[in-house]
Amino acid sequence: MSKPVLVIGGGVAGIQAALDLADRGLKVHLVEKSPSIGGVMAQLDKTFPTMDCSICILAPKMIECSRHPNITIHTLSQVTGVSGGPGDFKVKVIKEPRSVDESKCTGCGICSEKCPAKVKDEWQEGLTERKAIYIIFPQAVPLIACIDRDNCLYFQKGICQICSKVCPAGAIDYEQKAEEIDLDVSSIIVATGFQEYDPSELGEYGYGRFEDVITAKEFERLVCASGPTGGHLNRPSDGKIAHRVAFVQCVGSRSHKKGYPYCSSVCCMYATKEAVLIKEHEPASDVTIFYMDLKVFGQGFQEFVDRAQSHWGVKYVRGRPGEIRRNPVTKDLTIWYENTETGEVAEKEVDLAVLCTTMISRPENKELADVLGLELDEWGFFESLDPLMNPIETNRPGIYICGCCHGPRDIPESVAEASGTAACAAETARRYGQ
Amino acid sequence: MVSSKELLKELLTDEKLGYCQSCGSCSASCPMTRVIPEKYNPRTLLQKIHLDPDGMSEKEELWLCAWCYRCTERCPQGIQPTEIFLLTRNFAAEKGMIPANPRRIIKEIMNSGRSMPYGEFIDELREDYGLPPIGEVPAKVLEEQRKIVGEEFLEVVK
Repeated sequence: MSKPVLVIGGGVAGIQAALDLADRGLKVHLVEKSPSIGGVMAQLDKTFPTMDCSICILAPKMIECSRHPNITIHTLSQVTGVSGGPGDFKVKVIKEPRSVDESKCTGCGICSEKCPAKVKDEWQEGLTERKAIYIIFPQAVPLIACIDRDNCLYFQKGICQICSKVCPAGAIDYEQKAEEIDLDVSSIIVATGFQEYDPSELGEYGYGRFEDVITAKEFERLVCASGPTGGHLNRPSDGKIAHRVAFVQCVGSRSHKKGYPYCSSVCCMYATKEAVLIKEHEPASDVTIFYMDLKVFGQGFQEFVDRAQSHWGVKYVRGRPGEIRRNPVTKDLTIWYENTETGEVAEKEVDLAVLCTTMISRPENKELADVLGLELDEWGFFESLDPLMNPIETNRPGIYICGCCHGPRDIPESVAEASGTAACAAETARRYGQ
Repeated sequence: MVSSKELLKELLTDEKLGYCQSCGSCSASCPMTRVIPEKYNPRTLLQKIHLDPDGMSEKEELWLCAWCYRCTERCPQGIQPTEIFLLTRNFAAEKGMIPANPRRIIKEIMNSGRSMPYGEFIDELREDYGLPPIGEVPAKVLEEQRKIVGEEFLEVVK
């Protein structure tokens, strides 16, 4: 009997790798840091270039993970120690307390309804509030509430305990402690993903100063039917419907001074997708994409952009805006730009400006790389053994990487890589299994 | 002393101007371009300097930068347009190619020590704010200024 495989990260790449392995009959431990698997893909509204609903594709896979007899999901968990080699890794995992008994909670949500403590909802990109006891999103897997101890009145001030009084299942457990889990695995797949660049250091775009300058990920939540506005494009400052929207490309990417010199590889496409989404909501909207170069290289991508232009009437202007200003009375934004194809210098008034920010590495990568003994590249992404011929293997045999943890890439590529790592891990398990 | 041309050559290396993506951040930020877009555009000016640094010496365009450093501040590639324009200007000045207007200002500075002609009007303005008359720049200061600038340059401006 082969040993199980450890998958670190429960985003789309980790889920795909876990499912592939489990379908081959291998046991899988899926370790996820947040209260639910799903990752960034669960936050997206639609996917390019097919405009499929993101969660509609992902949720069945998430459910399959939770129901698969070969997959054990460890949420709120992090890998803190790894020793041994391929075929025989000894892994230490710390599981943070959920403060809710996983075997009893039914996910009914009454606790969140009654909880009096409100905090910013990180999953909704801070555009709305959640409670201190919460289910991270409606399709969460596992569908179990979780107490955010930093903001819970009981943990901070010793009062309240309303959730335990209202819970019909009696699942609230304030005494839960962090658990240490020891796993014995044959190989490890790292799929820890990325995070979004914070554009507030680019003062000229006013992110952080003007509420209506938002990042692309915030826009995904704003335009999503399960988002804070129910999918209506109410801009954050005054709730006015945004009919005039501008997208600014390459924010934090392709920059040698502030930000990162690499191309983020997905922004041209997601900006086009988001522009089309606005047009689908309100065809009379005025949507402009300010780009430096359109890098649309994937299957069906160029056709998608062509259609956005010809069918939906999305405007593409070549030029990186110099500055965004705000009218203090109307809250409208003015974008200064040069159309570098015509040399015309102009300004454009919009209701909402979306900054297409780059994907950057997670700061936790450093710690995880030390634990796993992996190399990081200069931007904090995990380094492949050979970017050309061996992109998913690492400097340590038996540990594989897939998805955005080793550089920006889109969903299909992440999924393909995940299947690749699953094949490698299965091979390792077979070789050392006998 | 390094000549302007050598410095310019350094600024024009691939590390600097070679990284330009012609994105238009500089021209979209430039206050001069907003006023006189048909005459001045830092993005195209950089391209022209790149292609022909020598030939640019006689162009008026070179002298229109207002030195606000916005382009240098906002260029995503870390190119320093303001510095490049300054060096190109210095290079042109060394060859004596200074257009009439800047030449007039330089002369004013060398003769009176100020970029604006001094007159009663300024003292009246100062009086409104309760400030004493500013007076002429002392001859000693002017002498020192001439020394710093150097006779060579003064010949050029003449």
